[in-house]
Formats: sequence, C-alpha cells, structure tokens
Amino acid sequence: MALTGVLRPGFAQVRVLSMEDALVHYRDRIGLNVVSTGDDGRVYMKAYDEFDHHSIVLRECDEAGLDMMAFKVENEIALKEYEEKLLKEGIAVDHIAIGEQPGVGRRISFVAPTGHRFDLYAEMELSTKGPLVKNPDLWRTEPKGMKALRFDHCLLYGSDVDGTKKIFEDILGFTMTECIKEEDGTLIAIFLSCGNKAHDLALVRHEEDNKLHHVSFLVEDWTSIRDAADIITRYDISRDIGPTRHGITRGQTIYFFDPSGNRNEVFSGGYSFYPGDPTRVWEMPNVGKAIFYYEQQLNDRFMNVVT
Amino acid sequence: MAGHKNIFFKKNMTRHTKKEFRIFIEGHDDQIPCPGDKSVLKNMEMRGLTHIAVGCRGGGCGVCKVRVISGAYTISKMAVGKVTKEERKLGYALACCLYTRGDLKIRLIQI
Ligand code: FES
Ligand SMILES: [Fe+2]
Repeated sequence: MALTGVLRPGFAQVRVLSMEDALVHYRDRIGLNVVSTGDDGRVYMKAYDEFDHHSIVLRECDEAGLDMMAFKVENEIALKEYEEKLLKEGIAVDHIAIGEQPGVGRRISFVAPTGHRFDLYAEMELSTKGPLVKNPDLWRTEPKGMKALRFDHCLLYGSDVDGTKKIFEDILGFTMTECIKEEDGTLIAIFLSCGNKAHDLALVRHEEDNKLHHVSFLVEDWTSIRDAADIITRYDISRDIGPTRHGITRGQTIYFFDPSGNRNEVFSGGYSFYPGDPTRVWEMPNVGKAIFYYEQQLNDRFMNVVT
Repeated sequence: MAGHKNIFFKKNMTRHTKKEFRIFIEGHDDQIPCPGDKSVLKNMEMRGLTHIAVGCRGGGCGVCKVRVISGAYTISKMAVGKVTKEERKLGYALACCLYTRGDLKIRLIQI
C-alpha cells in the first residue's frame, strides 16, 4: 500500500525556560542543526537526516511543555478533506497562515479532546542542509552529539484518550498498533501509527489535560543508545531511565530531560506495522514489562512527571 | 525571625558559591551539608536522600516543590505555573532550582 493521507509527524513546538540552555541541549547534545531563528526568537531545528526545513521549534516561555505537534499530510486535497471532516465532527478548526513558521505552507489546527493542539500541513520547503541525494554520502558533515536521525514521535498525557483516539482513527486514518488495557476495557495507553512505524503518536490517560510526556528522536541502533547514555552522564543531563527496551513497540531507549524539564527520548528499533496487522494488547498486570521490558516494573517518575 | 531571602538571578549569571551551608528539613533531625553551587535537589540525590521527590530536575514539572522557611538562597528559572509570583514571595521554590547562600530551613510539601 502506498502511504497516503497523513504521512508522518512533521514537527513539534516545545516551550523552554531558557533558550540559551535549550540550544546547548538540543544542538550540542542531541545533535540537531539550527536552521534559522525567527524575529520572535523561536529557533527552528532539524536532525541531520531530515529533508524538510525543520522538525523541532523551540519557543522561550515561562512555562515548559508542548505548544503543538504537527503532522505532514499528502497534499492540499488531503488537507481540505481533513478540515471538512473535522468540522463535520464539530471540531473547531483554526487556520495558520503560510509562513507563520519559515518554509511552512498553510496549516490547519485543532485542539483534541485531551487538550493538545495538533496542526496539519501539506507543504514545507526543503532544507538546504538536508541529506545528500546525488551519489549520496551518509551525511554532509559528521553527525554531532547523540546523532539523532529524525524527530520521531510524541507521547502525550490527557484525560479523554478515547476522544482523541476517535479523531485520529476515524478522521485522520491512524491505526492503534498497541495498547494497555484495564480489565474493564478502559484504555490506559494507546499507540497510534499513520504509516509503517510502530507509533507516531502515543497517549496516556492522566487527569490533567494537555501534558507532554516526551518528544522522541530516532537514532541508528542500540550502540547509539549507549553513546547517548555516555553523553548524558558526561554532561550531567538529567536522566530518567535507560538504556533499556520497551515491550511496547520493542524499541530500545533512553529517557532524559531537557534543561527546562521536558522529557526527551532517543530510541532505535521497533517493529514495522502494516495495515491489517492486529493490535497488540497489554493487560494491566503486565504493564511493567510493557513499558520497561528489562526492569519489568514502572517507576513513579516515568509515570507521573510531565510538563 | 530570620525569614527567607531570595535573590533572583539568571541561570547563566552563576552567582553560585562553592561555600558549603547546611540544610535543615522541618520535622527531621539531620543537618544536610549543601554546597552553594549544587541545587538542593541535586545535593540530596547525590547523598542518597529521598525527602524530596525527584522529577525533571529542570524546573518544569513541579514535583520537587518545597518551602524555604528561613535562610538566603537564589533560584534559577522555574515554570511560573509551578511556583506563582505570590508563592515565590512566601519562599516556595522548586528544589531543583534552589541554591543555598546560607543555612536553609526547608518545609516539605505534599504535591
Ligand atoms: S524536579 Fe521537576 S521541577 Fe524540580
Ligand atoms: Fe517514545
């Protein structure tokens, strides 16, 4: 099947308490490239293996957390179609003008039942620092820090997980690849994919809405996770947990926090998902293994600390 | 009554001092040595002390919130939603953003 509709996560706009500290973290430690800085102070960044103009936007603010997560859709026709469908479901849609972020076409924007703002767009200019395409070497200049390949997914916390799930499945064409379920069928955590990845967006049930659990970056392999851990210790980055592996998605992972307290992940691996694959289900007694396959138990910080 | 004295500063101005002070936690007997250039939370963690919950360590999540009852201190950037301006005046702070400039008496609070 060709990839249609919503193609992939496009970018996340993250609030940081100090831009100076955030830059050191995202640029020098995670290894993103700074693409440009806006007149309003927002900094646009991308991983070395991404083609589009940017995938992470940092905005200095007196609060931490996530402003919005955006997905790239196939084309303008799809964008219009999603707008109609959202409106038909009674969901308010905002229009964000071309160029509100550099290189980005018009966006439509809505707030999901879990309180999170999501944007959709069809167009983004290519970065001049994107991967090589002619007799392409691995990279233009050697990757830095943790050598993040791309912005990969977000995990978000909010109360009406079922409501947000419905929008992503019924309107935006996502599939639930995996979930954690209570005995009575209540969904505690859901993992949604719009393509062939094990997840592009994950949601966890939590009493407070519009919370960020983590912004995740893909790295090449398990060895890269070790190298990330070395960097975390060397530069005294606040570590949450890992290196370890998830039962869910099977990804290998390490979690840490940016200097404003937003959780980041670098991960590698995970299975491929294809349309028609059944949903993998974790029952509550196995939730420890689902989240941390080796530790086989949850920790309070991972479950409760969000921005 | 000494009262708390909080000297605002930006993270990068590094007015931290290496000098060691003591932290007293209300209702606990121990005196905890704490150098002025380590956050109170980091210092507790390094000593294996678990009085204060450890979250993001970056002033964003709010789980390490405490109240300084007396003593001089500085704080680095904290999320305003976690400690409001009014609370700051009353000595509330996030332990991960809290640096001693003198002996501190701290009250633990349940989040
Ligand atoms: S540990 Fe998150 S604010 Fe201090
Ligand atoms: Fe993740």
